[in-house]
Amino acid sequence: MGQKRGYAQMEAEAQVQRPAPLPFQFTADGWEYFKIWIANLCLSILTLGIYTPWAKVRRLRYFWGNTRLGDASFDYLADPIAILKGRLLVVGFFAIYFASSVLWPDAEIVFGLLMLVLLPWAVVRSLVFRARNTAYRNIRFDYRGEYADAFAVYVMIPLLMAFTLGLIYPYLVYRRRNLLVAHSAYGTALFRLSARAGDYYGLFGRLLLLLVASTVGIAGLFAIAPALALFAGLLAYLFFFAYMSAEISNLTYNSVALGPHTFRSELRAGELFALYATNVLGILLTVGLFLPWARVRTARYRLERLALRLEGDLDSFVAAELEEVTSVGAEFGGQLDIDIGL
Amino acid sequence: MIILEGHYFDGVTSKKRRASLAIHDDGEVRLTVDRGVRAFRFRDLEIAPRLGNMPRSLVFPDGGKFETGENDRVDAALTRLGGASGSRLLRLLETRLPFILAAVAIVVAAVWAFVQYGIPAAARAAAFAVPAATNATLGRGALEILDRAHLEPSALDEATRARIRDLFAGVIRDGPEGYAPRLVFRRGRTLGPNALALPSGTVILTDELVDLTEHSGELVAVLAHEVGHLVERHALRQAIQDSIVVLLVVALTGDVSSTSTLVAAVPTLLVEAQFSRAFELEADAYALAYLQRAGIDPAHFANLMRRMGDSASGGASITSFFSTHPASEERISRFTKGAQRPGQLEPRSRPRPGGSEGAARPAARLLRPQAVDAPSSCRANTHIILTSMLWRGSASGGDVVSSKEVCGHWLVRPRRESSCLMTINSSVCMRGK
Repeated sequence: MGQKRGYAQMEAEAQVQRPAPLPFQFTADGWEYFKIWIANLCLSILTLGIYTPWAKVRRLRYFWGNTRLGDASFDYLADPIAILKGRLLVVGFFAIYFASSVLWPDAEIVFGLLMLVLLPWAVVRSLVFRARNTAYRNIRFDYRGEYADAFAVYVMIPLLMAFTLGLIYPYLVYRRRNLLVAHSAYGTALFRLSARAGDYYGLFGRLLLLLVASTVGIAGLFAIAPALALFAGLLAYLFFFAYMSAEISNLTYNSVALGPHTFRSELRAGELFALYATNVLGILLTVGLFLPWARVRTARYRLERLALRLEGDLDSFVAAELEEVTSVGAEFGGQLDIDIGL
Repeated sequence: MIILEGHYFDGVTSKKRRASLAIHDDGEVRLTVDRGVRAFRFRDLEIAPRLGNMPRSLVFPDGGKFETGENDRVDAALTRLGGASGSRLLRLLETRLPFILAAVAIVVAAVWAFVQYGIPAAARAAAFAVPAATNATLGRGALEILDRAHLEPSALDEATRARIRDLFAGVIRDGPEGYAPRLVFRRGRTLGPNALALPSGTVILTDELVDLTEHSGELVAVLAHEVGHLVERHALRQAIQDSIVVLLVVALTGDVSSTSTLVAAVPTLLVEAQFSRAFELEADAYALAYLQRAGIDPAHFANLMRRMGDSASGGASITSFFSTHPASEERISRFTKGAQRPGQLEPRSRPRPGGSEGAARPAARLLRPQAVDAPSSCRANTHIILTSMLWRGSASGGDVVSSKEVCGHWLVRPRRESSCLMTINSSVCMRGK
């Protein structure tokens, strides 16, 4: 009953017209997720990995289903069989790669080139699969990027990295975010990214300053107390990581628009640092069993610092006509570790 | 009849409407939205499996979705009208404490067993499946990199070099097949007294180490140890094991995300250090077997190791030959024991995890059947009956292999892996019939 009243209340809140941003909420519970996680792991082991697509679907359903915006939650709708087929294909591809590189060493070059050609395709397919299997208020998301866009971002610009001494890296980060955001759609409404490459250069400039300052500080400390400096170095690494993560997320989300609506992300490096530090400590002390709590805590923090600035209401999005997608690209992406989460 | 209260999303627009769903016992379902009523059959509904306490969605054939928080009533309807038994089983697994504890136990045991036995065995099989030439490509360019960063040309005179080359030729006579090990001399600089085996088959010996030795037997011991790394393809096996560990950590922690990357680093390092130590012990066993076969006192190895330990504690670089190995006392004792009682090699001793190992020094635990010379009490006219081959301490059936006498000792070669000398521990020996 309590939950029902909760929904009614949220709905009442949503119906009131107000300029205040509409916050995301995360209703997952660490213990509840632990139980799902350990069952997933156990079944994956006992089935020698066959169960992993089902495990993935349950995990993402749980996270998306507990992500609420206003009076409704998100849905993850992927079919585990589609993911299984994709994984089998990818495993087959790599099995052929391994077998042929043993028999014929030059095969590595051929496969390397083949991968370069396939990678952008895999990125696009993986984004399409993920977007189309995510829904909010029974309207699916979509991804409309093309091979050429992904080719520029995943092949051309990385190749240029070597010639530009890495100076092109902030531009690459910008292009990756843009590749993800600017081709995404909710129903028929398109997302836009208003940030410019210059904004990312500014951000990386600040990161570089922080890096130089902390390196100098730790080097100084090392001369006085080496053991303390090692500890400080570890903390500094974690803080740097938290700062980078918070700043990139804030910059990106704060310049995303969906139709007339915009987003507001207010992650704080200090809070994220404390979160990461306690997560690392918890995971180490429990030999990994704390991991589900760590995931839930991280997702909760990130989502609760995110809000949608609503212009009007959320009722008028319209579904687009979508054809079914297979999971091959998605799984190819997964195996190649292309996690392009915003 | 079961009545559910919830909301309806038509799937055409994002509008949310209050709705109710009546499920009749005959399988008819009536959806009421804004006073309009539509009828469906229960079996045509797509009902999401229950997961945690999330709102449940029931999807109609036209794509419309009814969402409700009344999970128990949806389950009751499913029980009454049939369907989704698999998801109910999953639900039990995800909610009942005994099942959860059992799952934790299974996961922990499986991960432990995989790291302990699965990874070394898989890496070993994979490493010996590739041709020696492929193995050698792994180390291509490594000597050039070392020369640039750590090594200088050797200052040893030609006579000394020739003498050591002769010793080396003896060591590699029954060494790795498929590629010829090559010995090079360098001044160690930051590496100090050291010897390295590169996967390409190049063995590097530093001047500092040569200066430290007091007997040619000591040099033979070091060279045999390094050739042991080559014979056992340690570099390739380590590369394979490392990638499996990383993959495993990623698989267990799910995605490669911010926290898990950082957290993954620590267990990965610990496990890898343990593997590396196992390789070191394996190379020791190879060296010990060679010394005994060649009639050289294994105590030379122990002597050199002690001297190196002294020189390391005297302020030498931490990358020196043995100082990086935390349990070098344990290693020394195996050679001193080997000197007193040839044949009583003790391969079961468990290395302690957590030791930090230099990247250039792959090493570790005994992963293979361990073979030793026949105990001195059984000389000629004896038969060796191999009751068990030891696979990391666990007996795995008697795989009797052909044996032949070399230098007064029994040598046992396995049937398949002709390139790899295997030793059998504590073989039962009997007087001739």
